Amino acid sequence: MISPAVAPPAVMPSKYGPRAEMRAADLPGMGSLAVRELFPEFPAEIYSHHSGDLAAVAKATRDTLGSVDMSMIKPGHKVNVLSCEHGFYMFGGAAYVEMLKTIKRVVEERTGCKVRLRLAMYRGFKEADEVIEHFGLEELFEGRVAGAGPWDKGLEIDTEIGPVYVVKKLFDADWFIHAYYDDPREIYFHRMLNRGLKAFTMAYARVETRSAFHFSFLNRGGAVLPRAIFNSQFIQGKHAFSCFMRTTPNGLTGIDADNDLYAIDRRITISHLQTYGKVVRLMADLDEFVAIWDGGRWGYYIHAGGVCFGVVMNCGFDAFDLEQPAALSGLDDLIRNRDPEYIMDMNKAIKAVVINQSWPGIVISDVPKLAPTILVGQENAELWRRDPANPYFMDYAVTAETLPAAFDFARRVGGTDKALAFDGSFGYFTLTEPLAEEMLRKAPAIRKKVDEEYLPMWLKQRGIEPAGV
Amino acid sequence: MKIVRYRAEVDESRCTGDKLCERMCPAGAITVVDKLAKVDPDRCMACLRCEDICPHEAVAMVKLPGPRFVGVDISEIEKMDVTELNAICLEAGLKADIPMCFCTWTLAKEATTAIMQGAKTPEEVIRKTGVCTGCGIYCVGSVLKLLKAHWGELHPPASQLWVDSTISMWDVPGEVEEKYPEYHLLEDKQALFE
Repeated sequence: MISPAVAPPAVMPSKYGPRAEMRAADLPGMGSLAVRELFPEFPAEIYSHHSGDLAAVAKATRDTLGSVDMSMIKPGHKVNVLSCEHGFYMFGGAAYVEMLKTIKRVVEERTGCKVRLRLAMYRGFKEADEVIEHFGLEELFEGRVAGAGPWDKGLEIDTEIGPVYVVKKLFDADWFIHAYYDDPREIYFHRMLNRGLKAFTMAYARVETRSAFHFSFLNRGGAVLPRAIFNSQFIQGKHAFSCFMRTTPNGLTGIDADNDLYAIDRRITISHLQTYGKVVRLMADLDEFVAIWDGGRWGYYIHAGGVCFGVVMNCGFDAFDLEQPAALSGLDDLIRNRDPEYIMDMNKAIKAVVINQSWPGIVISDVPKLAPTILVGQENAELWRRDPANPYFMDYAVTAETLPAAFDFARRVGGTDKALAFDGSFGYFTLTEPLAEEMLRKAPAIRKKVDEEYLPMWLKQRGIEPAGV
Repeated sequence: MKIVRYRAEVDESRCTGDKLCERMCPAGAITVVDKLAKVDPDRCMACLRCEDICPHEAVAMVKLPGPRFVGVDISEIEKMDVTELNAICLEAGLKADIPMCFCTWTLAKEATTAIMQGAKTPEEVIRKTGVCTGCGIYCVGSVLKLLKAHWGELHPPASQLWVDSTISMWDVPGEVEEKYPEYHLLEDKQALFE
């Protein structure tokens, strides 16, 4: 039923994460199940780590930019292309770099200006340097490259909800291009409300404003913050256009550029509810499995069949349903004891977690408290032991010397032969045969339920008439 | 409660005194004197920022002989005026018993006690509670809101280690709440404090 395992995207070497001596796809019993075997109606990819050609990405970028107005950019103007961290990981990073490179070429050809690249990263001070070196960005952008992080110098701007701080270095130009990606990471936070704008808080803003998104709003309300920032006079006065890597669980399905970010955002919302919505609801319906974090950056954000672990971990409630108030924020304890439906909980199908390769540094301390967690190798364990974001993590997790040993142990303590690797794959799930059987068996009913019940509801809640989609 | 198992140590042969670590230390544990960074081991929270930012690899973490716990003891909290403590939390849009930091699981009442005992800056709250020394991302806004609620105004450093920014759902004007009903802002507010 499953085919031989498709090799996952390669892992970029980094000081923030361990090496992976072996990948989950190489474990005995692991194979691949194509997303299109479950949901053949999803649009096909033009590129994924295992298929397609980067020339198709360049062509798609050039084609979509053909309909974008760049007349506001004059030859002497400074233009910043704003890029974000996860794009350099998705599909191994090459597709994002191809899109960025093509944006630069087209904008320079059409306007005569010199384009600069800015990398908005999470929190490590060397993250940008590593990415710049790995992908040769200094050369590609002729030295006009700089990284930025949440503690960089801020700039106060006025918004319709009050003053906030953006990272000054990202906007030190006449114009900026929002060069982003659409994969629905953290739907439990953004709830598919303005996914396309999320970076204006969580990548382009100072640490204090990012903190507000998580700890001063509940999930649905948090979306007002990036919207207010984007709508501000300051940002509107500098936004030239936006350009997105568009995805479905099959992979990169196209490049979408527009002067109107809200138009892109609406297209993303419809597509994601139609495609990712089905995969997420299928994940929520699984009985049991062992999860393996196997290559990428932070465990929450590593994909399996295009869906991040964090989304699978938190899919016990329907995050697309805007009537569902479930919350994950510093404020949720205010209501924890009074209204259980507000509280998110870990997906109970996850019976054990194997950490083969991922980065510490983001709060994920609940994982080893809720499911047996096994780290592979002492180098890996030492990184987590030192991690200030998860100070008690290693008091609960255990260590195995090899991936096969960790996998065997996880299956025994988890009591299941079903396993799913979060290894960065789009288009495929890297998994064991019993889990593939369950997914194939359940997919038709999920499709029917989403198409007939969930999708019309999700769309209407976002002001989109289902009949018009 | 923050558990500290390591401390930063400076390799003097590599340190250039560039002050990058001093600027980034959330606890004010590092000072550069005569072009050499000095770490106060009693203040160091092992947040790794100094080690990470140093371009000369002059800072390394060394393991402590035993863990050090940083936090406000419950007996200290019980000495506080409960009415005042709750009022400060409420003014900040928080409640006393909620965790305001997922890395250290510090409760709002711990940080508020530290502030009522005299902490006037985030660095002073951090040294008493350990907040903002894990991921460093999520809790700083709550610390700033509590400080502002008690002291009235903030005086951020020129270095911008932190800035005066305390926006929250309570600042969203009514017309904006009405303009974007899909965000359910009013409903969330009512759910939190009804």
